[in-house]
Amino acid sequence: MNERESLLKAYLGVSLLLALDLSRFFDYSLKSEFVFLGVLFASLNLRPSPAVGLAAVFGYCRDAFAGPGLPLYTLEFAAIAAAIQFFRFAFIGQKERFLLILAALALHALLASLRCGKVFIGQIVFFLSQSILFYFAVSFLLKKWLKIFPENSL
Amino acid sequence: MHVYLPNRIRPHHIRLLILVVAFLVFPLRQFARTVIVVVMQRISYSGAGVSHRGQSGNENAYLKIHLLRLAHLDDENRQLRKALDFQREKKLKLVGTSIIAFDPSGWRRSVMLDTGTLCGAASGMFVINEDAALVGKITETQKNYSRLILLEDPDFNLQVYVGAASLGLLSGGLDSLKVFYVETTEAVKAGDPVWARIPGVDFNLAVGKVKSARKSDSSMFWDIEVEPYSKFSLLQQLFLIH
Repeated sequence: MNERESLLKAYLGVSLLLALDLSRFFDYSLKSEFVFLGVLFASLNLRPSPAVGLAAVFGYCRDAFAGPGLPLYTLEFAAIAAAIQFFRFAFIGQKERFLLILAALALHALLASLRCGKVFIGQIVFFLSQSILFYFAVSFLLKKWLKIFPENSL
Repeated sequence: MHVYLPNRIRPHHIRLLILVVAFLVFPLRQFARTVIVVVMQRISYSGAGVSHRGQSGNENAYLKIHLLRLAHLDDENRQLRKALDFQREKKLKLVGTSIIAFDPSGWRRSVMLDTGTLCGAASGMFVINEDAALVGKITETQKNYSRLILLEDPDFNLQVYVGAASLGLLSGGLDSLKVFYVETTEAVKAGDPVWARIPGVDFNLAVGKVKSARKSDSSMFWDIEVEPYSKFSLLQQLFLIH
């Protein structure tokens, strides 16, 4: 599979995750944000420029639903993708990469709480635990689709 | 020694920079939202396009989908009849609407409705469900859609009454609803109704019931948690109060 084809598939995959977020099939009991998981996956598995570009595009889609003001999600997603790209060559092992994902999720939760103006401890705990579980599922499916081997890595 | 000269900047870096700057500079967010909402609208209504293929393999699946659609239509019909009765009884003007999309953020509780200014939606309007329970408030309108913030949204605030007539401020908190500044000398207990008065409407709008209430000796106010009457799903029928 050439790079353009896999990038197109990555965009399509993250679009489906965005549709999943927008439709909330699992109601508000599910706290994880699938599009953010897709952005994390792309940041860890695509080349730097396409990964940051994808993060900025989907951050912008998220900003479309936020109120007026600065497009903070665009900046946040692009910055997280760039930071992951910077660190991923230093964090090669599975455990280190897992910590990288955990740090990105924690940062996202912190920024969301700041944006909200209130800290919801329950929301943060459930968000982190559910997001980690769903990340493995999203990563497995996207790797299979994009034909990235090994499928069971992060 | 490495010298980082400008020629290390590659065309794809420039493309990326232009993309991010364009996002920051141009007010395309409303356009992006409209595109996403229209796509979600198409997805929501695409069930109508399910056709009967006539092949035996697909027939079962087709009939199952058809049965689900009939059950949904039956449910929708029941909701609309209930709303019609309520409209006649209270002499109100209600506009039916449905949810197109939810806010993708887990830290917000807002939805997009398929009713915009063309159908008479306006900012500040209240939205109820078929049981006449308050669902939320319209905060933003466009031509074909509007944004509704639900009761549990952290930005949702409304003056409400608890029990007979104790005034308080209802405030959303994601998975909980609380009423602040209730100063009554009478005891507030679980199960007491929480209701609101809407300007221009001469009936009390049900919001929920008291889930738990306590008051410490050092505090002037009651600490009240509310259980809302309304629940949400993408297939739910909602009504705007004109």
